[in-house]
Amino acid sequence: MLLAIWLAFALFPIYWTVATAFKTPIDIYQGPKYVPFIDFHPTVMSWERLFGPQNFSFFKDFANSLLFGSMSALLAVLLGAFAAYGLAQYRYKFGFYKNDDIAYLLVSQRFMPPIVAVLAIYITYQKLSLLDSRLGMILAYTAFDLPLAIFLLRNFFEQIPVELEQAAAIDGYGKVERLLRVVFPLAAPGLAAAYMICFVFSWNDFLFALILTFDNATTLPIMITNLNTQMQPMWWLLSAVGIVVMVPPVIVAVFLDRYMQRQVLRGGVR
Amino acid sequence: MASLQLTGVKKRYESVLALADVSFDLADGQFMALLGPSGAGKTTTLKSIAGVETPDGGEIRIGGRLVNDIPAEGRNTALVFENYALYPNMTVYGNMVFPLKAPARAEKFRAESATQRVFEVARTLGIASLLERRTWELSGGQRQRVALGRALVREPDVFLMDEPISHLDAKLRFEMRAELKRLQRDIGVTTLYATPDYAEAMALADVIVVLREGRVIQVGTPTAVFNRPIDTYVAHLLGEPHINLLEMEIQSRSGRLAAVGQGVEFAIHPSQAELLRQRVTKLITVGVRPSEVLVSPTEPDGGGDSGTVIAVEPRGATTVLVVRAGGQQVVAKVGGEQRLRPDSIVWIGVKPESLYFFERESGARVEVPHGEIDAAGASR
Repeated sequence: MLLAIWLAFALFPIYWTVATAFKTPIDIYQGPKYVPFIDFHPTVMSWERLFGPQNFSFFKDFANSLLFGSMSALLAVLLGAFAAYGLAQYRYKFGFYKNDDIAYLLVSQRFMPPIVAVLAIYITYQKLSLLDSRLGMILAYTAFDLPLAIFLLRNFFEQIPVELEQAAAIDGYGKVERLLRVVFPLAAPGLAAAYMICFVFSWNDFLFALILTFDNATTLPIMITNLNTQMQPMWWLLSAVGIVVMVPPVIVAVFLDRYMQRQVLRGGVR
Repeated sequence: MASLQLTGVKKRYESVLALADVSFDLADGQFMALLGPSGAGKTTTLKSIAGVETPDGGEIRIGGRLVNDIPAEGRNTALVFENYALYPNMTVYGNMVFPLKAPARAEKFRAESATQRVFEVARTLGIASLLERRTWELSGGQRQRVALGRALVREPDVFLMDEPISHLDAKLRFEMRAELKRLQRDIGVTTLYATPDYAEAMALADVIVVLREGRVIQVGTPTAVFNRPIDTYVAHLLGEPHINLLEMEIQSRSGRLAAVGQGVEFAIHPSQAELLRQRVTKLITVGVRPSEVLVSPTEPDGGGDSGTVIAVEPRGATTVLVVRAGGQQVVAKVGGEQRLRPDSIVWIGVKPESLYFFERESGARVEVPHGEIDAAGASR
């Protein structure tokens, strides 16, 4: 029962967005109308506008969002995996700093409000001509995703029995091959989860894109805001874009879910 | 195949000294058991030889070649881990072919012969039908065979096994013990086998190395180590039930020597008497194996010490008795079914020639001068 109430709260905004995307402007402004064909006549007006000839940058921004999300998540997971592996399997000591302190230091970067970092990044990017560039955005998101990826993956690597990597060494494999052929496959659920979280972060991000981009490298959240503020609020079109924006993270989640569900460590050690 | 030499190998983990000084020689094709309780340094020794642990000092030579600075992947050893360490992301076949696809061996085992080799080994081990299975679909015994197979396919210079059968049930353990012995004889590979179980070590090995707290304390053939233990530790480690160690004193009884303590008296064999007579201290620890303790329900002709049975453990063909005689507690293993019950009165005695004598303080066996280690079986 509670679940049903919660579900209603959670799903209603999504339903409302879907319904609005098929309404005409008049139906939208005439007060609440809920049920298609009874309350209002569905139209595909907003969808024609979205995918037809347009005066806004939907396709470019969609491609940008997809590129930034997938590339920065890939980089963060790849670099994060090596860092997390190191923190899990070796004992470091830099003065007072041991493994746990290093890990904490890394994660603590996420405690800081991103707005603090963004201003510094803005000035740095200005000097490096990385403002409004795709490379710059990928790097910014990677840098911001990395601490979380390391934190998440470290736990996964710690769960992998050290004997498995030792066995691979005795079987004749060098360090990098051991990681790629034995250790990383066994951390697949962690890698998938980290990729998912990193992807969603950059996909949803508004702040970085707002400050660091203005034309070439803008993303979907920026486009949606522009639609709202530059013209009259076109709710029908906004809703259609909103639905499209929901789709890629769902696809990523469904695809990666297979890896997250797998019990990869079963049957390895007694 | 190759010989193996360890010289003064040391290893310290943060606060724990794992290996204090491990030295031994293992000849080409020999089967050596590393015997010791958990924490004695068996696993660290094996991992140091395999190259996945780096010793702090000492030398390790495989086939005469110093391997201290050669990484694990360049040593061509095989290690069967105590927990098997199968790769859960691969099938049984994937696990077994993995060492053959390694860069170091890719030349030697081209794709086709690698497959052939895996089938060959799988057949020997009786797991040919499991090759397509995933590791989690296997029973403990099957996993153990796969781990063994993965080690065997590569034709290693040295074959290392870390308690490979200690987690199997008793029946399977017995079968695998016989099978390991046969395999090792057939292949003739130099083998180092770590185990806490003395019976396993005696059944399998040509030579036993006894480890204690990271130190080699005795090396010898199974019978030599069993019959001539260097000290109370080794005597206690080999044999089940454990040897009786009784604190006694050497006394002269009408011209003959006897060991006396807390109401128990054992006659001493003339051949040992001379050595014991010369000793300054008369305090001594007397060892007698439970199987050498004689128990009779009536007083024997030669006399003896009476005691009370406090526990009876029937074991089928034999019975283990715990007898309290005077202030001493003596465990005896006697043949057949016994009609004795707790509180029965019995007389115990020993054959004088079956007694062991140890220094009370150091635990060293009296007959063996310090520093001399029985290496009779170390080279055949």
